[in-house]
Amino acid sequence: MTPYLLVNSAAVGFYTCAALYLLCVWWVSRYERLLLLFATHCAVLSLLSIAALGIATAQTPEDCQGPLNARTTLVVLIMATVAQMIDAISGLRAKWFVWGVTGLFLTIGLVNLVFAPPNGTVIAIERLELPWGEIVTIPIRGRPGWWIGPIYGMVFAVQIYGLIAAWFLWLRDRAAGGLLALASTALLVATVASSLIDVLRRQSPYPGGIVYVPWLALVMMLVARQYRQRTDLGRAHQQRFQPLLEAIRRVTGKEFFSSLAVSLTQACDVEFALVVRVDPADPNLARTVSAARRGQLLSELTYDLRNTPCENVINKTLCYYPSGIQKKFPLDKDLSEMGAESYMGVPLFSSSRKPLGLIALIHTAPIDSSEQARAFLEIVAARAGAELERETAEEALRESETFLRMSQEAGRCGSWEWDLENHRVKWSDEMCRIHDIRPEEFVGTPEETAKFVHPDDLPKLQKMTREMIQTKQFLDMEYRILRPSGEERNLWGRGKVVQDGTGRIVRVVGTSLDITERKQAELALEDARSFLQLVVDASPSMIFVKDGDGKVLFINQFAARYYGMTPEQIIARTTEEVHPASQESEQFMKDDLEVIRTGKRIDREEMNTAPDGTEHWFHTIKVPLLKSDGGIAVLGIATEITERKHADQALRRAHDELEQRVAQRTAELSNEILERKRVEEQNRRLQNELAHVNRLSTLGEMGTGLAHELNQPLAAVVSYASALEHLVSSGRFEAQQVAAAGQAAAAQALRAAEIVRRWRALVRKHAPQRAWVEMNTLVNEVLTLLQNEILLSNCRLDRDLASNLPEVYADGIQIQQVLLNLARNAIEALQDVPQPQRLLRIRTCLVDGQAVQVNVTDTGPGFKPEIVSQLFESFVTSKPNGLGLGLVISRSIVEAHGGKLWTKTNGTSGVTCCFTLPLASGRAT
Amino acid sequence: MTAEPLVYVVDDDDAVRDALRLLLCCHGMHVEPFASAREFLQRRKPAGAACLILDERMPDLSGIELLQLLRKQGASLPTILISGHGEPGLTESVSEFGVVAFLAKPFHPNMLVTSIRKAMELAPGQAD
Repeated sequence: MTPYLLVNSAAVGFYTCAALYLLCVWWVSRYERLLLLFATHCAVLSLLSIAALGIATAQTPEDCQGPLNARTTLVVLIMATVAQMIDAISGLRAKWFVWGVTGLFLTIGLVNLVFAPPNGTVIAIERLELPWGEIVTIPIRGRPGWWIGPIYGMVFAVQIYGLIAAWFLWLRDRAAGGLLALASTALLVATVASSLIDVLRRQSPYPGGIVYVPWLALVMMLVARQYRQRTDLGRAHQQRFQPLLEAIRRVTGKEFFSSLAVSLTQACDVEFALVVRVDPADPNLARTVSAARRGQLLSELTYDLRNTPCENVINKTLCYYPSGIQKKFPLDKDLSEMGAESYMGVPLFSSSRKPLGLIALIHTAPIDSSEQARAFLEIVAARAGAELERETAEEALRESETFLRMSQEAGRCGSWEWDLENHRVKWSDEMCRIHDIRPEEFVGTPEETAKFVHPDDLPKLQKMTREMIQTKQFLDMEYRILRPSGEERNLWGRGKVVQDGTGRIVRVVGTSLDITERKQAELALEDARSFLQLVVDASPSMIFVKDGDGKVLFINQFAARYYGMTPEQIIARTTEEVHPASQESEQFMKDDLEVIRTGKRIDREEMNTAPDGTEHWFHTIKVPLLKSDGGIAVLGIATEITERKHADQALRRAHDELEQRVAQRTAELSNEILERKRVEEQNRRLQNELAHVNRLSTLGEMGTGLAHELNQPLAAVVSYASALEHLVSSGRFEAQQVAAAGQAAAAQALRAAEIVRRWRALVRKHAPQRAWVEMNTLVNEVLTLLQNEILLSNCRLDRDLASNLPEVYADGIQIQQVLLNLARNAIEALQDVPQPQRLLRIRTCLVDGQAVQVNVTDTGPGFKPEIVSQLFESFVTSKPNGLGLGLVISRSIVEAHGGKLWTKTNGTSGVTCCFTLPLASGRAT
Repeated sequence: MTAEPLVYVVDDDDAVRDALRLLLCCHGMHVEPFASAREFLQRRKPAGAACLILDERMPDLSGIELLQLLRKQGASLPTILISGHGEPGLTESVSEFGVVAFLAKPFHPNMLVTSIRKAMELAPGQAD
């Protein structure tokens, strides 16, 4: 055995073993693609080495031709597997290139094997002595075919692909990229070496598969490394996701979702995790089933799916945005609130692939998007989908149960089921309620339930139940039950039998309706009906119902007697038939038809001739009566009034006579009243005139005072005006001074105007005019009028006005006139005593809560005895220039207001004049 | 002694008093106002040339009564009597009290000023 043969044989052995081993591993590893590729690769390398051995040991040129052709095909196959392997290792997604190259290579290799040898036909062989003394055969070939060029081109394209893949791998993983680059370089070296040897074929034998050992070793290292990494990653993921799986394994419902959200934030290391359900009614409305932030549950939240990343997940597939999520969905405010940067969402489906919702992970940095993480999330999503579906179904079930319970409650209708095989009875909640027991108290045996049935009804119920079971028909009966409290209820039960597949009766189901109230109402109605019947029969009026044809539908005993018959003899006949001699039948018929036509009642007194010829008066009322068949009949009630009619006529005669007399007397009386009114009116007018005269005379007496009072402000105004004129014309003045003088002048002018106004009110002649007035205000105004007079007469004034006096309804001007008269009398009286004793006191107060009283007191000498008796007579006066009207007018004014005026002397000196105005009667007068 | 003539004004009406003070000041006179006769009696400072403007009708002590008192004290002044009533009968009866003029309110201010000038000529201080 020579070294060349030894090495190549060893290569064959090694590659064959490796291929077999890898094939086994491939099978064990459940068809990992890369292992099959490796196995194929090794097998092809083994064949390449065999081909090299064949060439080296050929004896004739023909011996060489086969292996040489095979060798080219094998190289092509090696390159195809290399392309596939690089694709599998690097993850560079250039499938089109890989499969294109593979397809081309396979085609070329096959064509090459069958047709022309691309490296030319072997024309001779040469024996080459190697440095170590070994002799091998080298084929001498003719001109190579033109298509060796494209083959080489493609072979080198694969090398370059390897280097590019290495570069991309290097970007992700430096060490792996470096290894692939080394491996690719080794491959390139091997290929270039082989090609060189092919070109310089006289200097060295074919190296066979041995040149690919470095490449294979390096690539193996890379694959081993990747396997190790993947295993590590898998373990790490398992460690991460295990707690989550534990957390959600045994829980369901609400708890499941909250555990899921919380665990997801921890397992996937994200800020937020949401489990979202889409509203079944509105596909754009989403509600979180659970939400968590960094392991803490958040409250529920509802949002619009539109313009959110979730929209792209629902009913689609797992969706991942590694960064810039806020920029992609600027309308989603929640994202910016969360400070989200990346987003991963996976849809939730029901078992029938109906979209239910989604799970969303939101984070401030990229989320782990490895295949394991994705796969894991999809598994969790499947479970969550199932859970969501189950919960939805449970909710629907709960709702329908509630609905059933509530409808039973509303309808007072309980349902029951009697299981004949197991001898058990089931009642619905409402059924228990009807029987007035709590559901948990219910003992579900037929014997116990039978105890509720009223003893009188039980035999019948049992009999009917047996019949139902025998005939397989329905049960339908009313029965009574006794509640535990002894209360009796009426039920209406309906039941039917349920048969199994063989026709055997297994159960009886049914409902029981509580009809107690209805039953009671029916009884009450029955009572009312019999009561009405009694009333109708006992009534001393004729009561009858007739239809539009004049046929009697109903008639009471009393009416029948009038015709000398029984009700049965009359019913269904017309009045004419009953009483042919009646002269009024035609009129009655006309009335009946009118009532039916207009729907209005007729109420009249009419005469009827009885069958015996006597005349009777009736008060008849006819009203329309709606029959249950929709037709209209006439109900008539006729009460005999013959006697009353006669009495009425007598009464009317008496009444007419009386009325005539009354009318006569009334005419006389009304004349008297008119006369009286006229006189009163005249009196009132006279009194009013007199009061005016009194006011004028009073004011005339006070005229001097008025002149003085007015002249004061006028003098001031004139002086101010002159001073102003002087100041302004002199040119030496201060603006402030001028303004002050102007203001003072204006104030004085207004003061004069106010004096005039006050006086004018009293002077004016006016019709009496009453209003609500305050007595104190009137007193104060009068005292202002008298201010000057009081001042100049040097008397002291004492005002004693009660606060909170109620208002009185009075003519303000007239009351002021009274006050003015009394006060002036007092002031005048005071002139007769020395100055220190002059005191005028005015006092107002409330008397018994019924009247306001005013006292005007002076400390004068009092009345002269000869005057006292004549005080209230007209034209009696002690004053030289008085008319003697003051007190008389004052008294008449006060009395016209319903009050009183009187005087009294105060012991030694002075007089008090008092008057009252009532509170209550004020408004009436 | 001041060059300005001194005028006493006695009137119970605040507005009249104030208006007269302003008017007479404008005519270069010095005015001393009093609200009542009693105040005048108590507070008056004896002065050289002076005249008295007196309201005839006042509470407590009337103008005439004041003049009677002054006459009794021998301290009569040239006086201008003013009144809101203008009773003509009064004119003759008061001339004996040294009343220079009797003016009924409202009077023409020039008449008052003229009367004061006339009174000043009669004033006792004028002789000094």
